[in-house]
Amino acid sequence: MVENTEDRVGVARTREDARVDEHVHPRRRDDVETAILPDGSCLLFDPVTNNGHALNASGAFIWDCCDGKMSVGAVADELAKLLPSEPEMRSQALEMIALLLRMGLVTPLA
Amino acid sequence: MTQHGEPMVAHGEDALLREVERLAFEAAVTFSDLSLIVHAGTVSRNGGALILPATSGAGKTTLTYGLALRGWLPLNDDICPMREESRAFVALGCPRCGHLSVGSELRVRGGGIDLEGPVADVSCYFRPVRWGEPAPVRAIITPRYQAGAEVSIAALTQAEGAAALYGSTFRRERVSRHDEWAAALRLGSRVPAFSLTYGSLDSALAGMDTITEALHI
Repeated sequence: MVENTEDRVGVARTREDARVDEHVHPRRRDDVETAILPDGSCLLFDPVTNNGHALNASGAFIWDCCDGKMSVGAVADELAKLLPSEPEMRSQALEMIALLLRMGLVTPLA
Repeated sequence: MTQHGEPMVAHGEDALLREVERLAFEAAVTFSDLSLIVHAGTVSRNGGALILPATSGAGKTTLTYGLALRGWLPLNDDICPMREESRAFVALGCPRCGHLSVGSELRVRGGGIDLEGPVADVSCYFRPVRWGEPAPVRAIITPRYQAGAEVSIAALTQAEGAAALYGSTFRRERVSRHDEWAAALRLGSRVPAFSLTYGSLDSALAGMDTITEALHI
């Protein structure tokens, strides 16, 4: 769901990498610029690293939910509810948020 | 000769010429004020251009030159400067010599494509006899050579297309990274993007046919 401009990163590489506390409230960094494209995908610009990151529509939804109000678990539940025909969606959402946290694009709030 | 304060060492005349040539192009890119310059091969045909952003070793030069077999003439094989007009990005020429290995040269020439070279007697430096005309970009195609791979095409999201462009831009003095990101975003939102994995020039050409026929270009 995320593409780094240097190296394509689909989802976290290992389950261990993907561990994330579901009670944490992820908040996207204010300085990361977001552009939503007509097809629903999203391109981010990180002014600290100068990297661009592509998100697909699911990733864009997760990014939008990372406002510090919802917990990681609630964001994943919300996406899974929207796409009930895709049973892996909840775990993929968790991996995605773990990746965003690891990349420093979102910060964890207690 | 120094670069970034460090002495440069070239082993042999060919290596020195290659390095000087590379630095000259690098300087031109660094100080250009065009809104978007991408590390890519580009071809044009019938007033439209295809841009093939990829890192070194992805097979850009072989594919860019090989596409002449389908009437797509090269505008450049490594550096694609673009001029932004009101509703389009026009891919411009950068008729630089390309680096072709002996195997690639044989494949390209074997397909019936005329190449000039080795230019200045520099080993592996060739350039096409015919170049394409500048034209608006119609599609972004990210090529990936993988030995033995079956041809595989995947549609990219607009953000992935834009990210492929932005990831292939250069650091420049007169255009900020953010402005290049925004330019990549504008182009990525206007034209379709695909990834193309291939294991041979023939399979790459077949893949390109599939894409261009689907897009009617």
